[in-house]
Amino acid sequence: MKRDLLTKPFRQDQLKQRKGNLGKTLIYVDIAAVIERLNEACDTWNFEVIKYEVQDGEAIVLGKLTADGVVKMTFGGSNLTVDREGSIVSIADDLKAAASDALKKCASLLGVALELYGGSRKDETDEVPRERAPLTPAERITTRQLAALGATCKRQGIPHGELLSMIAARTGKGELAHLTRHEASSLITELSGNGQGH
Amino acid sequence: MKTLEQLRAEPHLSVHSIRTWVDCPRKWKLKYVDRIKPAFRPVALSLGTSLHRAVGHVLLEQAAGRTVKREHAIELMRATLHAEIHSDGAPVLLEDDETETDVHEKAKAMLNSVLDVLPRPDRVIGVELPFRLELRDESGRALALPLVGAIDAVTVEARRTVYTELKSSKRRWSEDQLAFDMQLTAYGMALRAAGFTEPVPRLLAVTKAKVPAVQMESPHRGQQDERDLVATAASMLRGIKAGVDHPVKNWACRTCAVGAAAGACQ
Repeated sequence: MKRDLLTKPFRQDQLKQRKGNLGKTLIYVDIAAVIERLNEACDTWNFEVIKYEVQDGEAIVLGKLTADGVVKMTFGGSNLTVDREGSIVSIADDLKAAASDALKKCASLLGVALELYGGSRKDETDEVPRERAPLTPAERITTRQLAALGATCKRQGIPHGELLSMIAARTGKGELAHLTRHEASSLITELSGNGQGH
Repeated sequence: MKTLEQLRAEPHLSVHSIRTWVDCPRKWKLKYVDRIKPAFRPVALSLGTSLHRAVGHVLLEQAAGRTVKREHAIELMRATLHAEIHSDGAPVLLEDDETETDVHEKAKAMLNSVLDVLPRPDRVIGVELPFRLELRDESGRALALPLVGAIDAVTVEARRTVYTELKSSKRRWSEDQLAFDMQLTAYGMALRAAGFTEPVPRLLAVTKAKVPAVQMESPHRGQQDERDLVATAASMLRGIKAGVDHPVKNWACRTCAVGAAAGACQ
């Protein structure tokens, strides 16, 4: 993986604009530019839709990007497109848009277009702020809990990707280190109790 | 003399990178080739950083002919530790049932224990002294990359040059750790290459505890240790060139911060 290339800021002509809420102008890069960047910077990459759902007028996709062995997972979403009569035009198209959004967000976790996610252009984007660990150190998962989660997953035969998927589904977080002590504790208890199933 | 940052800007080996490769070639690749940022930092690392900063400050002030008040050194360590724990980077993770106050108390106790035994040198040659060392095999040929690093402290005590490596660890250092630690070997070689005759190694290790144990040892280092270090570095370079990057799976994987970030090792 060529990190320098992956995190290189996009050229002005690759940046698009659209109207956002409250009259804000939002800057984004389109999916083609992100794919082009992944092709340039990674030897191999793969994107999977782990889960999708349509609810409350929105298509939601949990996506998993594996780039040169590095795995990132996160959600993407797209409002359902309706015609003048209020009928849904194409759920498939909205799911595709949500998947593209998930891929872009996964890629941002590797540093692609990071400048649009709270970097130098933070005043011009509505993108979701980057996920952070709980602010109080005493609330954060402990190193021992981290080890216990790893050991439990190994014992139960739960792959790392599946663990991340469970975490994302329960907490909306994409990183183990961002769990709270309480979340980690519940997860360890739950996984330990599921031993017979695997 | 170049700064450590300048030396690190060129391709190089470090004792840490050699140790990482020996422990787990996959971790080495994730860290040094793929440049994976760690998913978290164990609080132990922050404790070590802040302890180094405070002790280094005490020695530098001594070098300038001043004496640092104990409470000032403790305050410096507290401030450094606080900044470490609350920095924007990878989250610092504490141990079970540990609060930030506990960590600060531990840090204070560790610093006090170190300062209680730290000898007052006649002269301080340097703190965090950077070096660049050509590693030469038995035929005298230099390895492809030099060894770069920084020595915690180099002082003169009773007309002898003493180099000190300050360590904070969970447990006391075992006899084997003392005998085979590569850092002390490398620093001795670097100092001799820089013209210091018979530098004396010193390991000052403090346990991370509210009642810390301090070890001050001067383990012997000889030619065989130096040959072993060069042979290890040469073997590592051959391995990297051949594409060796297998994971070494063991208990350490569960708290491996780069493995966790890459998500490829668990």
